[in-house]
Amino acid sequence: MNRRDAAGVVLLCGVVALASSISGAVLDFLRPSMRPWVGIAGAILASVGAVELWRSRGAVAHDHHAPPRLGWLVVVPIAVGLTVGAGSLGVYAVGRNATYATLPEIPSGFDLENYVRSASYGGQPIEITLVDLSVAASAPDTRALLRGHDLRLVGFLARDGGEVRLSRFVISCCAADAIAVQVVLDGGADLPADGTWVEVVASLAPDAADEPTGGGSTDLALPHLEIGSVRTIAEPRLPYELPVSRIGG
Amino acid sequence: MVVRAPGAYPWLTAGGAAQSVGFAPVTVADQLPRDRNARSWSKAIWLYLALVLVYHRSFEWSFRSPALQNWSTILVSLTLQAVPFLVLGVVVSAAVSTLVPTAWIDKALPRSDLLAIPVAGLAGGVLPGCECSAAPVAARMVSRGVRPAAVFTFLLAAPAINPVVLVSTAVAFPGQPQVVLARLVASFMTATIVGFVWLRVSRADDRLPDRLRSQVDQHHHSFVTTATHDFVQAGGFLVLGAALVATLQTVVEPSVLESLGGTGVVAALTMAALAVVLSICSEADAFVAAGLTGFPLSARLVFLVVGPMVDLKLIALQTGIFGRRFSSVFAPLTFVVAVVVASLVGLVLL
Repeated sequence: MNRRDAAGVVLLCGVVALASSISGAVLDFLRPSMRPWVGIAGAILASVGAVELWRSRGAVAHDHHAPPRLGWLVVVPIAVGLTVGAGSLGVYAVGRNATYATLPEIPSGFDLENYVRSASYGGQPIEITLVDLSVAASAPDTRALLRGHDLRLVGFLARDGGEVRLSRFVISCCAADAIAVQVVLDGGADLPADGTWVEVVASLAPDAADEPTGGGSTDLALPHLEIGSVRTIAEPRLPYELPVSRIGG
Repeated sequence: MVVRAPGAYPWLTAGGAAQSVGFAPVTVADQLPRDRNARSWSKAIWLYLALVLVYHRSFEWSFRSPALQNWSTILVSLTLQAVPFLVLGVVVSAAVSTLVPTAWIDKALPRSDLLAIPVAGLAGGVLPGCECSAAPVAARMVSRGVRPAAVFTFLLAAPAINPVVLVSTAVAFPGQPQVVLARLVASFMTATIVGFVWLRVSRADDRLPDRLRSQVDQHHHSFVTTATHDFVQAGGFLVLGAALVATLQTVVEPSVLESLGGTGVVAALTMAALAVVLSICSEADAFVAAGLTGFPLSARLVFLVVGPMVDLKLIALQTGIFGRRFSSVFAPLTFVVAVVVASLVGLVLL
């Protein structure tokens, strides 16, 4: 790879990073707090690449300072990502990551009791993330707080065996460290196909789940919900949840 | 066969030597066609990139394989996540290269190696960098005459014990401050021990490429040229590592590794292997470790200590920056020290 190619690669990387930050495409891959940094890094790269491209006009092909041919690999994520249309993690990844999902240890520090009281004011469904719900449902006293309330949840559908599960990924840095969070929707046989994003209003099922679940084991004891209503929605702008609740902090 | 200049190494030397790899036998007679060949390849790559940039919407319809989508999402995530840190590292290292006088940093370190190595480790702990930014900065420090043993201690300590990493560990293990302490102690000890071993192993610095030892190259290159070169070189290897990780995450069932599980030495080695394979960045690995509840806490400590120091992504990055001769010794050495130290610290503190 000669000097001009290297400059072009840097310019391209910068432009793509900047564009993905501005358009929000970066949110399909990274946590939201990285978005401005990707943009800044992209702007720096684009300027460096542009200046170098300008300066290397007419540079000899065999400059001794040319980067190794392996440098071409830098464009692979861009080429592959655009060719296959890389987006947020989906149903395929749920099957692969489910074994990591031992939720009781994911921290979710917020005052559930206080939140349930204020969010259910006037009888509207309580908006809650799948992480917060799963953590709350794993202990008897917090599960009792949610009992009898309508909950409003957002996720995509992923069937496993006979169960219909509402799923979402939790990421702490990027999609490579994603952990799947799931709840079971009882009686959801006629729901849309796997991968469809839905907003569900549901309540905790009054079943054997009242027995303390086997927290801490790799064996998943997912919360069961009874469906009130289901609405198909577009994929949210933030497809992932974060380990620390957006309500708490 | 390809004739190389003494000391030249195909991964490192730019231009000629690197381009001849894979094109043996090369004689003077076919220099010209080879050049033309390389140029038409680069034209083809640029043409494809232009096509895909303009028409990616129509491309997407023809590739609907869930596994391929998953692979590309993980590849793009790992690369995109590294971009700001890599840019930071490249900018800092280019600044060090063009602004800081030779050997100035080395003079700032204590003269005795016994002190310089722990001080370098602490310096790494104070700077909130990640593994991707530490490597280019470390390479530049070596080329500016800082003692390599101290630089490698810095390289290992920076991503492992900086404040951001420790805070995220505390968040991931609520009510278990001993995990944070154990991670800090074990990572610092590993970094300094590897530094001292590097110092003691006679002629270990010979494993570094001439480019870094000679201190003559790159003086006459501008900030922009140096930054471009460093980004493309480090980035190429980073993508190679990320592609490996994406493949493993897509193809290998995680339950295979997890089912090894168990206790004691087996658990510690399994978690160490998992850390190398998963290549999760040091700010995020605590959350994954917290979720791996099938393993004892001391084995998860091994995961937290090994991960920021040795993983596929990092080995590729270090090979790109310091050369294959370096990383073939440095990575295994660090791995062994990290596993042993983390296991011992785990026994005492957890």
